[in-house]
Amino acid sequence: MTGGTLAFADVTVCYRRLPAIHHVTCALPLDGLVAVVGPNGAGKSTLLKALLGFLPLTTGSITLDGAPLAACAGRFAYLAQADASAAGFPITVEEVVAQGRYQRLGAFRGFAAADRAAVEQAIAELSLEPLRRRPFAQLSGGQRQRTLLARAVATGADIFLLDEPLTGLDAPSQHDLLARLAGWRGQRRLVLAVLHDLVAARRWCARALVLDRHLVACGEAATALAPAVLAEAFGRALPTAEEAHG
Amino acid sequence: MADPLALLLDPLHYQFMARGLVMAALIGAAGGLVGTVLVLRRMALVADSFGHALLPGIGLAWLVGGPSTAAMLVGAGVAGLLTALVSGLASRLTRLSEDTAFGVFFVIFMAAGVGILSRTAAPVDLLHLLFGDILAVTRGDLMLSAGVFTATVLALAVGWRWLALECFDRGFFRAAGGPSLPTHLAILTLTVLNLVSALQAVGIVLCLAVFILPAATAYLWCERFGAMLFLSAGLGVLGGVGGMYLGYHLSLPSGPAIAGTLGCLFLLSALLSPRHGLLGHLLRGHQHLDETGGRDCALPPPPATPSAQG
Repeated sequence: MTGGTLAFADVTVCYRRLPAIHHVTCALPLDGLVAVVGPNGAGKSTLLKALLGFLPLTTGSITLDGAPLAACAGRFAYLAQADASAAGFPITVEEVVAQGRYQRLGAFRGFAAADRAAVEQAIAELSLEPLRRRPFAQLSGGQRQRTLLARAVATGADIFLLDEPLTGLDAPSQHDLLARLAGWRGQRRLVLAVLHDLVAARRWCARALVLDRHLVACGEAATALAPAVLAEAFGRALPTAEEAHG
Repeated sequence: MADPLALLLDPLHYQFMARGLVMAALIGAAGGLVGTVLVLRRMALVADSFGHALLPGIGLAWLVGGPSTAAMLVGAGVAGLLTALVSGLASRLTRLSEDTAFGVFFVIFMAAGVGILSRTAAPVDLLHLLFGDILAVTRGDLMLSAGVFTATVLALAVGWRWLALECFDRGFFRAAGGPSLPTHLAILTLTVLNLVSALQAVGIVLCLAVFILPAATAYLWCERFGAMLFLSAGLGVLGGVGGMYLGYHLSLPSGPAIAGTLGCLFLLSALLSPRHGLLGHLLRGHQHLDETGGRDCALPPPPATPSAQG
């Protein structure tokens, strides 16, 4: 046990008075890759947005190591669903990663040695050294996700919220990204990733959180992603990997 | 061929030309800076509808305060904030998208503005508001534009990190606890201020030229936000001052001469920019980016044998 938990207690979040998720209670240790799984409209993105404080809680509370979220601003980093709209912005890979330090620095303070070190470390960790001077607009989808993940790492956060990080990536890039995230195990970094690929979720994730507007299961991936649990969440039996691949 | 020095110095003998040149440089530089943010935030046409929506505010201010710059600024500011508010509310509370909401209120505000201005007893020149007259700017107009230019430079100097994040990735900006909404409001406020500043000189219809053309041109050359800001401001000054001289020597109205000069700079760039220009695309032909180095590599030949069966 690495100590520390992210705890949801009776969490309900409403959009225009309709509950998107309701009465979610579970606790996650602050380590490892967690798949957030469920059918469309199950409240997966809502859960992430509630964690970020974008949406108010209608009931319940979320605490990090016992402290309310409002006191933990710098500990979360967010990777939104792939969005092509920003891709035209004139900026290099290195500068995107450096943006991870902006919130700490505010408007006036320049980059100190610690900030530069954090940026360099993130670039090295995500193997972006050969790309660092390339314009972000010229990168492939996988390279973009890696750059944005490096920026998240550079913030110094220890909880990473990734909303469908695999969307639009080819198979090798998906594999690369999941392998990196799964490889963080033991580094006291919690990654919550909304995934649609249940086979990949079973293969790479330590734990899973299964939602269908209420919490269906939360725990070790092998048990939380068992066929019976998924059948409950998705409302029908799903073919297992073996059946799907014949 | 006339003496080039005389071509440059002759117009300066006239006070209206000297003032016009300073004005053109000020709104060109400030417009280029704000335009960069608007282009990168994908708000170019929102800014245009904004410009039209200021009309009723200016009309009412004219009715109350006469043709004073201060009254105009207040009127335009109120109308601008009102437009931003109702359009923002409409896009959030109805199914309308942001650009549709701005489009809806731009037409309504524009109609109200023309209506108000047509009822004023004072001899208000609607054409003047629509097309501006940079040769008639007063000391007060110059002071206002200098103030707006200073405010724009200061806002960018202080807030460029936030502006870059707001334009590049709003989701991350908000998630990191950054002031996304204040930054968005600051962009809208700077837009209104610069619209008012450019109004006297180039008018509502053409002021978009000063915002969008230098920024769009710079975008074709730059791969960095900072570089784009500087180039865009420089192009704004070049287009403004160059257009004034062109208008003087060719006896063209100044507003269209400025917009035309900026337009020519854009067309030249669209043709000649090595990375994003038409000529570059044609010369490069069928070349592809390789995965890691980014160097161009030739298209590989097709496989020798079509895939064998079995």
